[in-house]
Amino acid sequence: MALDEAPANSSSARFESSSQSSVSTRFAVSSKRPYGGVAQLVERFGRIEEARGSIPLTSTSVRTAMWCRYVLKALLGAVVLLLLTAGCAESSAERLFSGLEVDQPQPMPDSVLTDTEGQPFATRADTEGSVRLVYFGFTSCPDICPIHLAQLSDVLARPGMPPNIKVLFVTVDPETDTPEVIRDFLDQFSAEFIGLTGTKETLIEVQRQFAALVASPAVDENGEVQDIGHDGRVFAFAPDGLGRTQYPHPTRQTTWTRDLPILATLR
Amino acid sequence: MLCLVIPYFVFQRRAPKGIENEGSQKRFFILGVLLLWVATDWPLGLLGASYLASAHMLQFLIYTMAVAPILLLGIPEWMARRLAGRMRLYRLMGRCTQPVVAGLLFNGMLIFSHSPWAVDNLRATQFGSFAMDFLWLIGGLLVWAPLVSPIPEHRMTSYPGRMAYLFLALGVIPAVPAGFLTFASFPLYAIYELAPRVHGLGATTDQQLAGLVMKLGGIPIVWGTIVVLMYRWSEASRAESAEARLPNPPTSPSGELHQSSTDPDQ
Repeated sequence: MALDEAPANSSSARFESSSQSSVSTRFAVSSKRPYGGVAQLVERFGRIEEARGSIPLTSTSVRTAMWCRYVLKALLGAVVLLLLTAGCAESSAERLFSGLEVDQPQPMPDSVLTDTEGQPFATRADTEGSVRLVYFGFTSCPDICPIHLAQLSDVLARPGMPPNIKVLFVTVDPETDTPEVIRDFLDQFSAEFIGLTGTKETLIEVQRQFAALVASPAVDENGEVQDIGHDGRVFAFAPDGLGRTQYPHPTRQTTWTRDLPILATLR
Repeated sequence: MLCLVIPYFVFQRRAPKGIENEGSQKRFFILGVLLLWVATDWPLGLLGASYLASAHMLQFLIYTMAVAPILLLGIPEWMARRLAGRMRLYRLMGRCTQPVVAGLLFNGMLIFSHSPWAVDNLRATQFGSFAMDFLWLIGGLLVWAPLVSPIPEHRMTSYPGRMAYLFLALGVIPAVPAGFLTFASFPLYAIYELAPRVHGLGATTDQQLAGLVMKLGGIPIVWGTIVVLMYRWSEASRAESAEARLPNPPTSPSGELHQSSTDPDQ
C-alpha cells in the first residue's frame, strides 16, 4: 500500500489530526494552569516546536523525544565548552612556571651583605648551585612577610622537595632589624632561612640591583614610622644563576610545590 | 542576637491564658543564645572568619550541634505554632522537617558551606560571613527539628527511626568532607592558607585539625543522643510490656470497654 493511501485510522493520520486539534486547543488548556511547573515548561517547549511546525504536542513519547533533543543540545554545548576549556588549559600548560615568568632572565646580582652571624655574605657566590628565593621585607611586618615565609617553610618541609633551596631574607628596615632580631624572626619559620642586612644605602642599592621596588617608610604627623611599603615579590633564581620567575603575594603552596622542583633542575 | 532575644521575651509576655511558661525552656533558650554569642564573637568568630580553618569548623559544630537543638528545646509549642501561623510557614516547616528532606537539606548545606569556593568567597566579606553563620543556624534547626521540634507533629515518633536518622544525617555524611579535609595534601581554603599563622600553626596542620573537629566533634553529641534515645526506648518497651501483663480491664455486658471520665474526647 502506498503511503498516500493510508487509511484514516493509521498512525500518520492520527498524528496529523492531533496536530491540528492541538494548535486550536492547547493555549486554552494551558491558561487554566492545570499542571505543575515542570509540566507547564514541557508544554511551553512543545508549543514552540508546534509553532515551528516540527512536532505536534500529542503524547508522552513525543514530549520525551523533545526533551531528549534539548538534552542532546545541552550535552553538545557542554562538550564544545569542555573542548574550548581544554584548549585554554593546554595553552597555560605550555608555561614552565606557575609564578610570574620573566621574559628575559637576568643573572643574579652578587651583592655582599651581612648575615645574622655578623659575617659578610655574597648573595650569589655563597649560594652557588642552589635555587635562591630572595625576599625583601622587615621583621615587624604584620602580614605579607610572615605569610610568605610561613608558606615557604611549609612547602620546603614537604617530602620530595629538592634539598638545594636557599631562602634569603633581606631586611629593608636595618635600624630596627639587627642581626639578632632577624634571626629570632626567621627562627619562627625555619632555622635554615638566611637573614641579611647592611647599611641603609647598601640595602637601597641591592633592591635596585634585584629590580625590586625600593622600600619606603610611611611616616605619620609626628615623624614616626607607621609602616613600610616594600616589594611583595619573592625573586626566584635557578641554580644556573638566572632569575627565571617571581612570586607575588599571595602565592599558594600548590604553586610553590609545582615550581620549585622545576627550578632546581635548571643548572 | 537581639533579633532572637527581644521577640522571644515579648512573645513570652503574650502567652495564651492558662499556659504557664516553663522555666526550663527559658533557661534552654538563654543557654542557646549564649552559645551563639560564644561562637560568633571574639575570639572564635574572628579566628574562624579570617585565620583558622579549625576555628571555622568549631564554629560550625557549635552552631549546628549545640545552638540549634538547644534553641529548639527553648521554644514553647504555643510560640512555635503562633510564629509558624503568622509567618505562614507551617506547611513549609512540615515539609522541610520530614527526615529525608531535613537530612538532605542539612548535608547539602554542609557540603556547600565547606566547599573552597563558598569559604573563600563568603568569608572574604562581613556580609558573606554573616550569611554563612545564618546558613549554619538554619541548617542546624532543620536537621534537629525531626527530633526536638517544639511542634509535636513535626517530630519523628519511632525510636529506631530517630536513631537511624541521627546516625545517617549527622554521623555518616559529614564524615565525607571531614575526610577530604583531613587527608588533603594541600590546604584547600586560600583564605586560611594565606592568613598570618596563629601560634605557628601551619595551614595544612590547621586543616587536618579542622577535619578532625568535624569528624570527631559531633560524635559525643550524636552518640550521646542515640544512647539517651535507646534508654528511653527500652523504658517505653518495658512500660508497654508491664501494661500488657496487667489483667484486662472489666468490660460491659455488651463487650464495650468502660471509658474513664477523663477521656479527652468526652
